[in-house]
Amino acid sequence: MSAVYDPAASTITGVAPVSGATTLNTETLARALAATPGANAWEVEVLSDEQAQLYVIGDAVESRRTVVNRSSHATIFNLHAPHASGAEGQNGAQPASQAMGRAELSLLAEDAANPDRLTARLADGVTMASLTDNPPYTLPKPSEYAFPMPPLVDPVLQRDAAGALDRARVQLEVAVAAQPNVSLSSAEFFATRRERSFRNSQGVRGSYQETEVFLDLVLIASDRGNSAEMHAELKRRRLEDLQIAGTVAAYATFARHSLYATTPSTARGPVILSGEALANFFSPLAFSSGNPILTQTSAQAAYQHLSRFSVGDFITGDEPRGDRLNLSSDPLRPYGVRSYRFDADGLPATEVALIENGVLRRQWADARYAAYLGVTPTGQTGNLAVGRGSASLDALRALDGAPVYEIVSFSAFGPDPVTGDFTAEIRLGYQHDATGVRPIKGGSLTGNIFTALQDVRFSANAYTDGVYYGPAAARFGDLSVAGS
Amino acid sequence: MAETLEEVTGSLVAELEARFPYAAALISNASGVQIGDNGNEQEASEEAPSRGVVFTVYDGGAFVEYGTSDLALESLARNVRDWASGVRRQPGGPPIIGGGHATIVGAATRDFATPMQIDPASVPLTEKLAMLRDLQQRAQARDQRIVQARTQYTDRTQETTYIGRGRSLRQRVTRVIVGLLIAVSDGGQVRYHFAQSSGTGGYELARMDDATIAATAETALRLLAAERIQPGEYDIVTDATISGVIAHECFGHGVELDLFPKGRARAEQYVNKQVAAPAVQMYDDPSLTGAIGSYFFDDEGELARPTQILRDGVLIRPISDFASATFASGVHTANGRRQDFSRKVYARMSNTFFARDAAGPDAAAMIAGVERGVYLRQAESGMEDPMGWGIQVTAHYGEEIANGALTGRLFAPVGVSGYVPDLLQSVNSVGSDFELFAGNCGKGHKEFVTVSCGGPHLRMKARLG
Repeated sequence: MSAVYDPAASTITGVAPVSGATTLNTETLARALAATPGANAWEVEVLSDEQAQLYVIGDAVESRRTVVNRSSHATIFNLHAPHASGAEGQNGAQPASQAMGRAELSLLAEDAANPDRLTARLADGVTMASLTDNPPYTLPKPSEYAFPMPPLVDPVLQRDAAGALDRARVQLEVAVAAQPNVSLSSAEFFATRRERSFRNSQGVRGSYQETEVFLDLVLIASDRGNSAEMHAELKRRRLEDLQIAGTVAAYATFARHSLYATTPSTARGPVILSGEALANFFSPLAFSSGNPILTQTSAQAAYQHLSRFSVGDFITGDEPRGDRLNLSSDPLRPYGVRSYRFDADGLPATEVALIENGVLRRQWADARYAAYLGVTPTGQTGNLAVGRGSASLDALRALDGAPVYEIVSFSAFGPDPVTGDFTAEIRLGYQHDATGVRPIKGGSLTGNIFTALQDVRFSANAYTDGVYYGPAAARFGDLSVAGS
Repeated sequence: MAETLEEVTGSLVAELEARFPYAAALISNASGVQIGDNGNEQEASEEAPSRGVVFTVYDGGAFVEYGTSDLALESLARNVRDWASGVRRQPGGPPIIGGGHATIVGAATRDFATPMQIDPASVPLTEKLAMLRDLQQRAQARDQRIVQARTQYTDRTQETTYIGRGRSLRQRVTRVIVGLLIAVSDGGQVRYHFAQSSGTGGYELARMDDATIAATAETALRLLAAERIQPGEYDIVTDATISGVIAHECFGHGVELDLFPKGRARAEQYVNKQVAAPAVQMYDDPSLTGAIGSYFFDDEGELARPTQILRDGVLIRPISDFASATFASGVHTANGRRQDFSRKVYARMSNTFFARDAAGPDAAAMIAGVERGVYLRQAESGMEDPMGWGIQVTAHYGEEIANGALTGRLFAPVGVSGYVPDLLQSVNSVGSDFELFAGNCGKGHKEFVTVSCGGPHLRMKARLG
């Protein structure tokens, strides 16, 4: 770990600063907000990103990009008498005597350059906040403890992001060359160095640096005039965590298998999700979707009457028959993609057990919804840690007479965040039956996140995609496949 | 007299043009407001403003770019020159594409702006909040089982200036969206339905009539009794949202020319070949007045114009950006778009749709022709598979059709999957109606741009699950 923690300043030192001046810093904004009438409470955040991007088609560079992006954000809260049709009291009870409005502004460098302009922009924010009514709550105060400091910086990326990407490209080419019948279609590498600074009107302040690397990879397998692709999107904090050789080997194998995959038969019964597919089940990538488990375990959903279960309830409705789910939010995981020191409200990162033995133990709550429900805030969610089981992969794949499908990749897994219902096209999977194993693709898997967890067995093997940390596979007892 | 950002940028582009086969810059500025109201909570925020500039050069082998939010003129010039000093001309690459561009006469700056009746920037926030609160209250009052009626309003104005290729273009595109989500509960489960009104235009678009609110609430309540569909092959009738997502996923993503040199598009082998039923016509058109995916020129200064992708079921033309037209030697269409200055340009869709058949049937007539099937409504999402030609589209719900009539039995959600040519060659009826719907489109799970998709009702066969 290259960083040194300085608790007095709540900053990381010992790593190279992001180059260039941040023209609008938290100090400038804090001073301006403190002098702004009607800004009864506020939060400010300054983000400074430097990014190198490398785009490759086959063995040629298609594009190189350098991006410098600095942005400053202010959230202004204004207390006022409720408007005529304004907010109810906390917990939706009686009309409140006071309402709190909230407005978010993004401030540009030119706002900082001109004090009169900054004053006017902040006054606009107060006006905007004064027009909206919400139940009031109090922003977090400084913790008596320093913010925790999970390691978030890759010194390799911190030192020379563009150079690191060039070396990663070489690693990728070597890894692909080792794969028979597979070629590199395209790859996109992004390396980001970010500095984040935060202050609020209660005196919470902090800053930290982080790095991130993203790889979008497409491999094509070809054989006798037939071609098939596999697409991977990987995000990590450290370049080494992309594990390029292993990742290429795995996806190249999938691509070769995809060449001979056939459409599965329509069936209802046991289905195994493994690797990426299981990570997507707990932490969907699909842009149009939320995460049903995180939605349904949130204080916000409870406050808004959208929850399907309460604290103390089985999340599956009925008592589960197989393994019982243990799931935590863990923003402290070293180099986890969703690890942080403090959240958007300035709450310190804390690991929180949300589901234990299949039962909702606690709702995660940001500062606002914790206040609305009268519970202790947990902060925003971090990485998802899911408890492993005891089964081997072979045991999960055991036949009970009927074939067992194992899905390793979906086209897009986008469950409904409210109901938990899902239907997702199978990009690649396998059919295990008495004759052996054969690849499948096409058709779709249908079910419901919560009812699926009523009958599940988790593997003892582990898997991570940088956000999900849990079992490598799970066998669900009763799901539907729509196929031929 | 102080120089402007455009003048400094123009000077820098001229310096770069002297060294490279192609150089250009795009200055972008986005602003607007987003407000929400669920009856108990209200939000008002600036709509994620972003401001920056991106400089592009083609060095003879690759497109090299520098994007920054630092627009202070002195540091901008210094930073761009520093960056450019490290870029060298490369020998041996393909020549920059020379043909197919829309012609622009003269070097004078041309300005474009979304036509509108009421500029959203001129409407006080109080009025927007009142409009949204009224909508929220009208929706909430529809039924006691409504646990939440959530309304959202967004206006966003994107100003872009393109300087390069001897042209200087400025546009101001304003998009307005009003959304309604109604969540209902029977004491046990929670279901919801949603509606949206959107387009390029002004504040005059910010409305939703009572019939739409009533239909949204009624559908949400009906969904409390929805079942999961028995997986299998069905005759389906698709509403305009489902038709649109099928178009978008099948031969929208599938014909983005940047996929061709990557060997990712099976469509490359099917240009000028039959890929859909002869009744199927499909377009991408960024020049449609009022559609939310419209613009006047793309992010590479190419003037908006329609591209016919399918004619009589035959694939005739992909959509492209500068780089893909160069590397794949294709025709340059006006589809070079980037998420913002921090992201690369790709070949991207704008408004993508199946054309209607003016003499075709209406939805009722199509349904009347189905013995056993499903009427799919309200697209939620889709995903492309340009190489395998698989497709995934998720419908919020479907309604059973039996003996030519809707039975009232609902299924939710319903997934459509299948092989693209099988799906499109099964189209046996194209409706006379036409609608477009707003959406966000990504490349994989990133690079989001605002698009629309749509078309008429279609009737075909599909695998549902």
